[in-house]
Amino acid sequence: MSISVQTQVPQEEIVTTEEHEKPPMMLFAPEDFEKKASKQEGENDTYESSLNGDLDTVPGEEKPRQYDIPMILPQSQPDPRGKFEVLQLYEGVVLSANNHSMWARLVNKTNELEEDEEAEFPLEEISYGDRKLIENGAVFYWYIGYYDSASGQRTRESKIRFRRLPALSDDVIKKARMKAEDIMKRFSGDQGDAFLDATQTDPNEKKFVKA
Amino acid sequence: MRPKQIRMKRNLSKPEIDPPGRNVLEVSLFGPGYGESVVIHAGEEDWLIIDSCVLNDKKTPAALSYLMAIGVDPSTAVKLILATHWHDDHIRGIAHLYRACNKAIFSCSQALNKEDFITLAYVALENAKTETSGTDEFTSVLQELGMRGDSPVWAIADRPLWNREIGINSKLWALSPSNRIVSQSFQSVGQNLIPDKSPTKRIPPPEINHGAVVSLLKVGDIAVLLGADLENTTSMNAGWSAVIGSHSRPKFRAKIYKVSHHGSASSDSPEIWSELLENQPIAILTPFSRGNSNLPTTHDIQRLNSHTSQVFTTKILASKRAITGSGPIARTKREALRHCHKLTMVPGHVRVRIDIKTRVENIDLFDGAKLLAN
Amino acid sequence: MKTSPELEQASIVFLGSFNPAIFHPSWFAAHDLIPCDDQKVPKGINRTLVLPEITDFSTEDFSLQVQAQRFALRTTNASFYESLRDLAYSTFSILHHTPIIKMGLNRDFHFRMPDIDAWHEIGHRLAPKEHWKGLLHHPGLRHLSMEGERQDDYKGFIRVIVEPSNEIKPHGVHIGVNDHYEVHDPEKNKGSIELIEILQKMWSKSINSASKTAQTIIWGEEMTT
Repeated sequence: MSISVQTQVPQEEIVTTEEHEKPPMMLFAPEDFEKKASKQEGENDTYESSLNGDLDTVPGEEKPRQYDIPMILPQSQPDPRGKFEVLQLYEGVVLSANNHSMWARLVNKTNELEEDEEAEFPLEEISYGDRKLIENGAVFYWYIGYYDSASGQRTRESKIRFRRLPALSDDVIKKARMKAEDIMKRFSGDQGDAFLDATQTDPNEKKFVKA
Repeated sequence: MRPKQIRMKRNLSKPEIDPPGRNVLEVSLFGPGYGESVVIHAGEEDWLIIDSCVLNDKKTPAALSYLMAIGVDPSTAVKLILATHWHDDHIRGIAHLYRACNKAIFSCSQALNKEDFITLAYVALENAKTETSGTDEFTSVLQELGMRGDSPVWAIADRPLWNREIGINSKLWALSPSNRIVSQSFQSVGQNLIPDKSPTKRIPPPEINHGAVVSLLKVGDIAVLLGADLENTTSMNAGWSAVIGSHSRPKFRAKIYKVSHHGSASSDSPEIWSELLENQPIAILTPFSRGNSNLPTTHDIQRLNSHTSQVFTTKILASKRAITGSGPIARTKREALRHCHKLTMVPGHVRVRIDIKTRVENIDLFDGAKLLAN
Repeated sequence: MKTSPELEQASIVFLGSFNPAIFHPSWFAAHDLIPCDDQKVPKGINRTLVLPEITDFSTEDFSLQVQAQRFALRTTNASFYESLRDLAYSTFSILHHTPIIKMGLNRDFHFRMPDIDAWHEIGHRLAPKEHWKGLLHHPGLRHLSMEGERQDDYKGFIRVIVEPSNEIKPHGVHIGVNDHYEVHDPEKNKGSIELIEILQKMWSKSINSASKTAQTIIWGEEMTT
């Protein structure tokens, strides 16, 4: 996707979350790197000596660096620039796995009214890099569709991608523990060996009877 | 010989709109549909629900749908909801069910009454990030309990969970888990609570089939044994051995048996039939299919039939068929997969009704339920 | 004949305060967020530029550009849409102290219209020319930007642009949908959690909704396959 070059001057500097209106990227010109690298004798290495607190000022220089030659780089494109047309998407959960295959339950995400399915996948269908992620409970996406390359070649493809989510943080465990402690405080000391007597007529009054 | 009628209702999407009379014990088993659910009329318009499964909309608990179809108001009529164990496949929709049943108490295994397990549930919830996770059912129930200012009634071996002395005398006991299992479950959960190094997975609840709640209900002089998913172990202090060997359990023999763990051999023993059940009991079960494992197997059916000729299943699961279709999706699935089968989401329904006074029995089979015979 | 877009892109843009040098491919590999070998060396990385002021690299599935105030992840591969969300979510779960105040969940579509009349029809429909006759000679729609309020509880807006496509010629139309979110209180916001939780909840809905918007603009109705 190319950058659209705007000839109009925007009324205000708006930093947007839109991707198609990304601002041109300003980088240092090569001359600035050379200036940054060179030092004069007796020059203080730290930036704290700059008189006006301007971080752009290199110690020993009298004026801030000028970005005289902006370089506009085209943004990296994911390669290749073909198009994948999704015909079917499943969300799968691994039920069991061995050295040869894995069993998974599949939820139809393309048509959620369809019944779930269970399927056995040979391990050869899983990318090498994802095989270490296979274990009971692991979640993956299975896409079935057509890939049209930039040159127009069409192939029918099946892509399985395992979800890569971060390891549990201490924060999550800590919050879960706090919730659990809170719940346990409510539950403890409530009944002991007693059970609920159904003969009570007021359902809001919990009458417990010793077993 | 007591009068009995077995009626097979073919292709009915809804049961007859007839709630049971006050003197009628009803045991309705639903499943599979991500698990199973037992809906019991314990006489005097008091209803109890054991576990939960959902209909093919993936949301509505089968128990709720049934009660409303027969004109029973779940918000007042349901007195107890029991979660026999916190396995993904037994609790779908249970939070929704509990929220709808305002007057119901909630009961679950004492093995869950531990801070480490509750922490694990919240950690699992945070880790899940997927709609297919079932861990939010447990935390949702905890939240509802909090809003009601309630606590669960913790189930442990031989503890009564519910009782009614007015009208027809009725009582429900837990027969498991044993004290030994409760202690062991606490230890195993604690060991699991390590920050997950492989963060892509759901954290499943700890394997606590051994912590599952088997229960015994007595309505008048008819007893019902609800086997949950309890399995056998080599220890006398766990599994069915602990149940049978308990000196303090109620010694009634059950007329109706919700067969444990889909009729598997690992959850059966001769002593269940000789010590806990009447002669020729009515046995009801839901089938199970996961991967290459189908229950009950042919051997299981033979074994069950050796004890009673009255074995009913909520569904006969179709054998795994080839992927049909000629479109690109079907072609891709045939190429990529070794096996694939749909999971039926319309639960079958076996309904047993026995009049406490006259002993007339009616067994109705809905939505694919069948008599299982050799 | 109604066709699907010839080119598509999804992107996640965060505005906040970033240290571009952190976002080296090796950092992502070290956290297992991208494929890597057993030594945690990232695989499949195309040209990489990592400087204190800017990081820019791409793989066959996505590209990333980070500047001091802007973090942008993009993909043109529809089979990577869910993984794009995971990558953004995971990055700022780990770096949850990074202050992010705005987020854009963006879709770009480039359609090829069957002929020049169909191409002009879009401009006529969205910007009727009667108001411009007498002011401009042969007026034509060069760029249209519409903004609507959010209908959920989040702070932000939804902005849609329509313009001739620079990628598809002739008769190409570019539609961009910017699903924009902001933290409720920038003064009190201390990290990234508020917005990445919205990302987790809203991504699927956002990208599907954007597809429907684009199809409705182009064809006047939602296209059913």
